[in-house]
Amino acid sequence: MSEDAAPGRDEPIASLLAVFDDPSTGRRRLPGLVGKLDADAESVRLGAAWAICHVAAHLPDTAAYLTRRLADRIDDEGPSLEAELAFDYVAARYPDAVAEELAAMETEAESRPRYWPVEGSLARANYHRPAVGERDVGRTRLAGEGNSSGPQRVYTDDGSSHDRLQRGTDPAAGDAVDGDEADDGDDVSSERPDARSASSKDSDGQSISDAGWQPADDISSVVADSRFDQLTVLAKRRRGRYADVYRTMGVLDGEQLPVGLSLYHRPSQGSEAFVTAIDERLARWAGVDDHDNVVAVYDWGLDSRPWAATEHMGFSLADRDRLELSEALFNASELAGAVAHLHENGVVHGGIDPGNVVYSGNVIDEDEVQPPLLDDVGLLHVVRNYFDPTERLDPRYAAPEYFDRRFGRIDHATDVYHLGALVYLLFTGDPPYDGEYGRIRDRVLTDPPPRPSDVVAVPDGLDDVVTKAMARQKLQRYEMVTHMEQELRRIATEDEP
Amino acid sequence: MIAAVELGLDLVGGNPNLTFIFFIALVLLGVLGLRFTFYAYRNDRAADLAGQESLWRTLAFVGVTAVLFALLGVVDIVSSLQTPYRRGVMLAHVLLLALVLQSLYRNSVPTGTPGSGAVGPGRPFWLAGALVVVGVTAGTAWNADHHAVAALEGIAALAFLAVGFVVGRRGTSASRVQGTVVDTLLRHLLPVLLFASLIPIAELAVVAGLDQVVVLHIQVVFVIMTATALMTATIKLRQNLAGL
Repeated sequence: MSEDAAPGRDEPIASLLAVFDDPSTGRRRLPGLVGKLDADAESVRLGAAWAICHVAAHLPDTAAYLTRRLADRIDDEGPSLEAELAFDYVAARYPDAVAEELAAMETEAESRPRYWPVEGSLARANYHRPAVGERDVGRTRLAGEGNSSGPQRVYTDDGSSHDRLQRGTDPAAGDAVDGDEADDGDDVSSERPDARSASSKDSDGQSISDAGWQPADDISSVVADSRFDQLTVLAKRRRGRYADVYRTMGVLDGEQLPVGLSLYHRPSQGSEAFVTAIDERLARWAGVDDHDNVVAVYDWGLDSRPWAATEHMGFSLADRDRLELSEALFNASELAGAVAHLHENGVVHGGIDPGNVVYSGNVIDEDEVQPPLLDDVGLLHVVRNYFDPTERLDPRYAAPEYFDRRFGRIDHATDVYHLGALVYLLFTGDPPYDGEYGRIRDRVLTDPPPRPSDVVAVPDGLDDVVTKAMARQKLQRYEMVTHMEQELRRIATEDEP
Repeated sequence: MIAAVELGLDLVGGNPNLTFIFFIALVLLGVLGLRFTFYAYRNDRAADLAGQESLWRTLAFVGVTAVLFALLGVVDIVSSLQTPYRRGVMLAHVLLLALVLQSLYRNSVPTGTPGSGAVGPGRPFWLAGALVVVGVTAGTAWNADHHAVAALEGIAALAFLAVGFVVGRRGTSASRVQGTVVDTLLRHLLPVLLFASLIPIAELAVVAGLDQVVVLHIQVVFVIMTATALMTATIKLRQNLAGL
């Protein structure tokens, strides 16, 4: 399934034309437009580049955002011509802003990873950028799903000293993920001709000759340490907010499982405490993953570096455009149910934002509504103490207690707030607050909660749900997510034709 | 003056059984009121947010008045000191409870938002209520006409109950409040208001001609009920404190 045909997305050309008709709407469409630079169709990529230039021309303040988004793509191993085209335009039009942003990025890169000793505080703007480094999102297919055409590559660890790895390179096992039965989700053939030629040198298609695509050495120890009989890396590493993630195929008791293998980023200081804490959080996550809307944790370990093998997910809510009303209601109810499940089991997520709401991407019918799943359950509690929290939690969705300690601790009421912010996004397609970090912080701490009906027509009662969930003071928020879930389900029932 | 106070059992209504039950009820109210005050104070200190100070401080005063009423009642029983003016303290307790319910509602449904409407009476009502409290306290302290003071006390308590109940019920039925922590707090404080206000309201029965001892038997039940209702409300304060 292509990215543009994914459920809940606009028809690509129509989306581009909408920007042409009204460039002022381009700000909220920019994430989607940038994502379209990865589209399969060249016309869509070119159209997206043109639309990005059009938006940049009308909205000069988007230059900084575009600089980051496009620079990431240009820095990638296989930069797209369209991204370069758009970047060159923005750089030529706003040379000062682009230079300033590039300098800031360089400074950030030099200072990262950083130890972040201030618990419960967000200090700097650097929002989660959907699709940056997540170029597979929304258009991945897993091995064995079929419906595949053209060449594809399967990457495995080649550490021959590990038994499981050796099993992973077993030609018989490789058959399951090789050839026409495997996917071409990464679209290597069209985007990376050098990689394809490298692949063709291998008779079994499973060895790696392109160093840029090689799995980290850590994988060998993970494979040996894991409970999987076989763990085959299917796609190149994706740098996530919490971890480097590999799309893999695991074999467990003869059953194939699409696995997202996360190797968590290690802090430069306090590594031992970090490892212990992340282990404890992963155990808690595994204790609540029996819910349909929580990403399953198959296995985790601490060898070499903390890792977790979880259910593989294709893309996140951050990669989606505004949803249809019925789908938004479905997503909101399901997510509320998932959070209620976490709370019933004494787990607080703490980091619910669009980047942590994920979808499998595996649908048979394109009209099928995909259930949302919560990812990285509870990990932010640990990660924010070691890394820049603004890069792990999108401040536009962050609860007041993340900005100001006086609003209390990070607890279940924080999840309620974040869930309310997500509901706002689901129905309006926009984040509840936007702008520079300082502006967002001020608005979160002073403005009354935003009402979706101020942006779009929404079902009766939805304004109350969002404003109650996003109340600044915990006193005025939902006491329990189950209340919120009940009200969302009631609205969904009343909204049914 | 204090030197003139003698320790010794002063029977309530001349009835030892009633005195014993009153003593237990007042101690219970005092302890639970103290606990309520403590957690309201801790919430006030921990929250440190503009807009919440008045709420937590009023709640703390609710607890303080309960403690004061209980303390004066115990002193009345175990010493020769007579404290009839404690009835004014209980009326103040009821007034503050009604005020808290209104504050909670107003905080959750700010003026100008849909459904806010007119949220309870304005400042003149509360000032008048405070004057009545002072009047009842002064009247009982200076041995004014018992029936007149009892009537004023009972009617004022009825008015406070009515206002608090209406505001509280409107709050709990407002969609902007339902399911929130405020909703739960309102639901916990409504029984406190109800039972506490019935203590002074029962004085109206004396005005109607019922024997004072019978009324005291009724009042002691409401004192116990007020204490237990305060206990459950304190749980909510503790839970809120845990999140701060």
